[in-house]
Amino acid sequence: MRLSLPCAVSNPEHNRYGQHLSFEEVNDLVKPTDETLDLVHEWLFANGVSLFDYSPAKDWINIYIDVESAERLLDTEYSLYQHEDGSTLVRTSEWSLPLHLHDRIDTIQPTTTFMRTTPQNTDYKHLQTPWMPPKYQPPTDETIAKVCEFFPVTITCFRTLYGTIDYVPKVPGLNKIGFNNFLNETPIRPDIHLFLENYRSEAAEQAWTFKSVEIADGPPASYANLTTEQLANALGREANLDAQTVLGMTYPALVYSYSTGGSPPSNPDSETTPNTNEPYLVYVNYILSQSILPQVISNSYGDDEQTVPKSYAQRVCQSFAQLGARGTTFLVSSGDSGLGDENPTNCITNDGKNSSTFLPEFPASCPYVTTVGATEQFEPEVAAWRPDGIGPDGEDHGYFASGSGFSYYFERPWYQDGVVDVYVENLKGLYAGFYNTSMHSIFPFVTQNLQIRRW
Amino acid sequence: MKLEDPSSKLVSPNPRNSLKLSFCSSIVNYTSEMLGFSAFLSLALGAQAAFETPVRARTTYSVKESHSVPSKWSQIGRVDPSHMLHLQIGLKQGNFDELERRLFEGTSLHDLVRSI
Repeated sequence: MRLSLPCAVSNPEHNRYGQHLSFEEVNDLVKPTDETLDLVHEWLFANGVSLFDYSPAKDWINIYIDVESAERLLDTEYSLYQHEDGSTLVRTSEWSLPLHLHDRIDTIQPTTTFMRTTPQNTDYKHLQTPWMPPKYQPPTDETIAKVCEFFPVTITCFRTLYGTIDYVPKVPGLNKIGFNNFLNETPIRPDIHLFLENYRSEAAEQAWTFKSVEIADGPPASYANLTTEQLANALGREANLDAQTVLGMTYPALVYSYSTGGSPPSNPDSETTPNTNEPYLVYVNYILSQSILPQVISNSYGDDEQTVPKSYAQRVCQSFAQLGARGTTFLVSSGDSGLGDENPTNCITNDGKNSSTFLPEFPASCPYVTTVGATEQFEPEVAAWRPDGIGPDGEDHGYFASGSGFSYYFERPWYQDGVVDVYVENLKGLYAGFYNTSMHSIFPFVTQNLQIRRW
Repeated sequence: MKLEDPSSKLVSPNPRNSLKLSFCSSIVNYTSEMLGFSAFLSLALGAQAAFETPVRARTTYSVKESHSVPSKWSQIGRVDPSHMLHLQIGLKQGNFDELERRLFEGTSLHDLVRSI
């Protein structure tokens, strides 16, 4: 691990280290003005909406209403949309507000957000033997060479490579780490136990004891093995990968698994009704309402930035700043598709012009998170990449490249000045027009060797 | 959504309004910090009279946001009007700039580059 959040309070050598803002201080800073609250209440009451609840800072109001009423409230029309993979959402492409509320309300969701919380682990998971880069050289450092090979990279290799192998925790029992699950993903405890017994035996018992937190009817971590059908549907694949790595790396830190469901709370027949929730926002508002937070939260789910409107991206990003101010580092995967998509015909803008573009990922593009990219090899570690085609196991595998690029929504933060200028200069105009160099650059801050094996 | 934190339970709108509302509402007897679901519902019936300005739309509606549907998605039909939505309304935050300033306070580029 090389770099923490761009934040003095997170820098151990800085005199403000550890002086984070409290839950109350953050809420006080972000709470809306009384005038904003008055005007929004007035509008809701006038439209017959009289039951609602608030986030602790009152910067979010939750209401539960039927589609017909929502359509009147927002002068819009909801439709059922289907993704090419078959999944459906209830969304709209446009909504309205009385003019005097345009500056009082930043966003209302679900409306125009088409983000899918897609797990970022591509199909490396299918590989029994990896695609080996032709010029790969095994490590020459004796200590590393003893425990690290190209594939699989084990927990012991990670801990040696990143220097935590002999670390003695100074405050055992106080440090906490969380990881997020969406799309009904949940960790499978027996699998995790098996993994830990093999790769970090001292942590094995934690497979049964780590805390499972369910949000919006998300599934709890499973004590039972997967059924054949669940296995075929790859249930728990991403969640297991995350749980095994987190538990294996951070023992004896306390581990929290957050599973956010996809169904709206008041809909009993959710088997047949489409998913109308916006799980990311539900999760973010849940975590911000907690008075005690893990010091680190890892999130391996994201989507193309342009699948969400700018207003939504900005508010979710501001929520991550609130976590940061409270001392929580939010780790986000940089993506699995390099600068865009495995299929170049998908690399087009979403503004109706269909211009060619690279595709940055959200929330990786938010300047308040710590983006984690994938590396492979050891001396040096390089950005992970694999061509598509038939792998050594005889099966067809997709393209993989660790995500990067430039945001279209977030301006370049001050801490990237200089570094990014040099980088852009060295590009010498390569692929100019496919990205905006004045914006936030998704340079993975921390990298993690990708060639791991999952159970 | 399971709300485990008691501070995010149903609460009254901002106290200033609640007081005004209580003045005009004879439907229910309550103290402002003890609002429950039903009390709040009844209270809202009297709410329209409470505001100093007329409640009917003060200004006309205009489009707040348009966002093109991503290319991998297609519209396949209408939605049952009775289908329930959990709408989350993000109000403009009072002082985010100050929060950002506190987040970055004292950080220099030197700190960051050195640790790479």
